[in-house]
Amino acid sequence: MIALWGAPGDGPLDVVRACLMRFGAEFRVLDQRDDAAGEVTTRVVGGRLRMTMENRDLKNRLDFDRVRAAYLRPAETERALPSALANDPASRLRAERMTRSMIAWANLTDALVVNPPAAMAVNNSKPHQLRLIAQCGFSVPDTLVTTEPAAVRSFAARHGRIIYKSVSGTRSIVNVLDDAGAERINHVANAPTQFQEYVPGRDIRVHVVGSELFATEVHSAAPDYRYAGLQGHDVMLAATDIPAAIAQRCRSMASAMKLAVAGIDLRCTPSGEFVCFEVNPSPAFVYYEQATGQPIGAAIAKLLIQADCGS
Amino acid sequence: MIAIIGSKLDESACELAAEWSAAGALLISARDLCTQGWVFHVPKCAEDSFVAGGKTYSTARLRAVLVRRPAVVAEELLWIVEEDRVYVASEINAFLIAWLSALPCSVLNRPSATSLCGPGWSQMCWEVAAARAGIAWAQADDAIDSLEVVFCGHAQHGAASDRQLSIGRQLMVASGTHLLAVKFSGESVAAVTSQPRLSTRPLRNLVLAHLEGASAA
Repeated sequence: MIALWGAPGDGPLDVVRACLMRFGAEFRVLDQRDDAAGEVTTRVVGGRLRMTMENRDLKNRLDFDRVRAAYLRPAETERALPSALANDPASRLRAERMTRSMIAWANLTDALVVNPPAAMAVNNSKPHQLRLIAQCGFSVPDTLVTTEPAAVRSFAARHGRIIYKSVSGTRSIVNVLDDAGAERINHVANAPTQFQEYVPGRDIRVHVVGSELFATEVHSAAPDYRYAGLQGHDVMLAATDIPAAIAQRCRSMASAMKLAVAGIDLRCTPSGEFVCFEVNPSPAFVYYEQATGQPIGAAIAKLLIQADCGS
Repeated sequence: MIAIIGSKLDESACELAAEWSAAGALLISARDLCTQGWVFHVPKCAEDSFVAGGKTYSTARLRAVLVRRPAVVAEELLWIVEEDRVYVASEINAFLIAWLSALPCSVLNRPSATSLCGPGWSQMCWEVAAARAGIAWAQADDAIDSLEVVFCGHAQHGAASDRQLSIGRQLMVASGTHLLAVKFSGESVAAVTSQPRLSTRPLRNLVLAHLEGASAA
């Protein structure tokens, strides 16, 4: 059986579910909005975590030994629950217990999990992940994390144009350090802040799905194309090809990071070098799929079905 | 120089820094992480620096680090405006994970993506790791009379049988840690932590000897 965990309405979850239905797969959606009404039992047997989950009416019992593949797209518990339940301490407690149990199961199971939470958590520290990316053989942008204004000025003088973004996985808009930003440099003394050399070139998002790979070229003058509209720019996406060696390096890196599915952010410089910025362990691939027609969701569904069939 | 990553609200961490001051121990508090002077380059460290006790030091002077907290929490950051505390705490934790992972010196324990000190495993995860290594886990009723052994590098504190020694070493390898406390009920494991209480002076001396030995090696 295939399990999907998250809240319906989430784009990637909905697309994968639709593909599984189209392929006639046996799957079950574990709706996160119902987590507060569920009961979960866990125990360790012979080096394995055995888990069962059921609704209070006992109509929907699931023995996780039956789950051979899972796709996880959970939202934060507080955001996933209906507001009446999110504000009820007992309901939240039950939902949080469900979340903890799901995460423990997903980290410990032999089933295919897209992706194991422990592997996804590496994205919570971008400079740490950047070191891992470099260890996988990719060029990475020169990066500085600092509370020292003088170090920022020196870094900017060395690289000419630099950008800043969050250190953690908290989503932030990548911005070029302009004159207004330079006036606020002394504020970095308040908390570690991340700066990177600006790397010119073409943005390419690579989605690795098992051994499959989908490369999408992003045409935009915005420093952060995800927010091109906010930054006064247009964005255009198109399917593209990347050199076989780079494609293989993407596959190897995703595998080394224990990510069956990954969204890898590359930039191809004018000299033809591929620089890697980040590996997204839970990519919102629908944006790229809708713009290019690349069948990323179907590939994820097939990957889950293959694992469920034991192939 | 030995750095202790801990909270100023944690008396034991503060006492440890004071007790080890002759060995050059300094406490790095959350306040230090919000102080001018930190410099950390990726992918290559160059002229990096850190802040301890409000003063800036070259990172190259660090011989070892002891981590005494799993995370920096938002509630501790009283000097940050309230609406920014959760964000700043997550930024500090993300920074510390990168910094502690990259340090070339000994770090007890190296962070994981979810904890500043070791793998951040729940007891359920420890139980699975133990079972996979063929180690028995104690029933709740048996755990009441448990005895704790602290493992640090190749040494340990607390009387342990050969089997218990073997179990401790196996759990260290499985978790990638070099400092671990294991509560035993006979030859079964009742609990494990990668951030043991360093409650006695002989135990603290053992850890200090490891940190100094690791830096000399």
